[in-house]
Amino acid sequence: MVASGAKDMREGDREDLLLHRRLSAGDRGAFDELYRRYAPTAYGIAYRLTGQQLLAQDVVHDAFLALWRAPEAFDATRGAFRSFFLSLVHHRAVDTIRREERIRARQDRAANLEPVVGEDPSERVVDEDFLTRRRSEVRDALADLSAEQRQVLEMAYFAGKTQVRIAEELGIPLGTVKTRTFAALRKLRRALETED
Amino acid sequence: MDRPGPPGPQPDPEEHERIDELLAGYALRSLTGEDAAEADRVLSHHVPDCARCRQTLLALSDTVADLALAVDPIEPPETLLPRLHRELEPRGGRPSVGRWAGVAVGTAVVLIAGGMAVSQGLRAGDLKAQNDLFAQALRYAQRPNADNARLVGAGATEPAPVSEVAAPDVDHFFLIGSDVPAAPVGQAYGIWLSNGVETLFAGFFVPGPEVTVVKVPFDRSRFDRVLITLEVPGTVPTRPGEAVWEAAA
Repeated sequence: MVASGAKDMREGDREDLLLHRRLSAGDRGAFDELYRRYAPTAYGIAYRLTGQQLLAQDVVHDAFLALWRAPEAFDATRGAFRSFFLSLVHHRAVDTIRREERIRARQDRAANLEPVVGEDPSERVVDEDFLTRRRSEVRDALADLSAEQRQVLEMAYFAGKTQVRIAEELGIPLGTVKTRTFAALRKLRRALETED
Repeated sequence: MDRPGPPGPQPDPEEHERIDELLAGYALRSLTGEDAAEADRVLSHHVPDCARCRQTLLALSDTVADLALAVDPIEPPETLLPRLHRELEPRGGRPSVGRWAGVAVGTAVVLIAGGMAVSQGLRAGDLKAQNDLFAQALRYAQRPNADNARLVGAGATEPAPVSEVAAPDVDHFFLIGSDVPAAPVGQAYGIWLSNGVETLFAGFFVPGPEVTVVKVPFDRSRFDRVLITLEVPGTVPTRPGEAVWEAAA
């Protein structure tokens, strides 16, 4: 089962690479296909961070437009397209919330992994198989972290908080935040590599 | 990330542990202040020559990217894809010279005594697009919250021949140059936007005769600084070249 998932994953990454090449040549069909694959994930994470539909739309819009206008920003030798694009979306979402202090209050809701109230998106989105499997692997790996490790990761990634702010909010030394963060990512990596 | 790569310049293990933690914070975009500056230094001066740290950074970045998959996907509004379609410029045959080069090239508008004239050397189709662009800039400048500020020479206070017209929460702003000298031979003016977290290349500023208007498709209020730099034409720069003019928030 794991081997099959890993195979699907690699196949999915290869398809992404081919789509990216076509997009680089100006193929709008490839753009649409990549949009179909990644827009729901991108919108999900953008909405999780910003807590506002319009801001989330802007984040996703900007990310896809940047992809179209500068496809050369993706370097296939530095990882999968999925990693590149989802990082791009996350960075833009983080930048957005840091500039939108007025939505700070909404981030408390974002700092957990429960679905946003009023949204039941999972039934309306049909993922690629390889993404569905990867989602399950990532969630399992997150669940295996210690509560302290998961907490700093969620505050940093899903709420876009800086390490300094995390230390302040948790009342722990900044050095502890750094150590926990790296330990959490290292453990996640090991778990996901095993799945690969 | 815990498997060392091929040998390279190797700091002591404690130093590498500190760098690992720094790279983790960098990958999560959660560094600020001195840590962010230190990460910049490490990324510029150590990581490129250290196979272990390059591998660590890649592994961290991949892992962080996968965190997006922990969130339930949500179908975006149906209007988003059509909105994107409207903004996708044809790219066939466009030289790969940068993110917004296609926007910047050919946007020169010639003004005479407050009115608008046209360059005799431009095609009629170009002229219409350029005039439209200038009209857009004029309308934009009339927004109640639009701000007009002149850039200054980098590191000094002398006024630059380029001004910006920007309004908050609008997905674009304008750079307007007046009698901008041509870039030195073998170089081109690049436009960079920076907010302390991200620095991105926004395209080339190609000066035309007299007045040049460039539409920069980013919300200016997201960025602290606009830089005009010297870059190698025909390439996509990854870091800002020598700054010529700049504007702060």
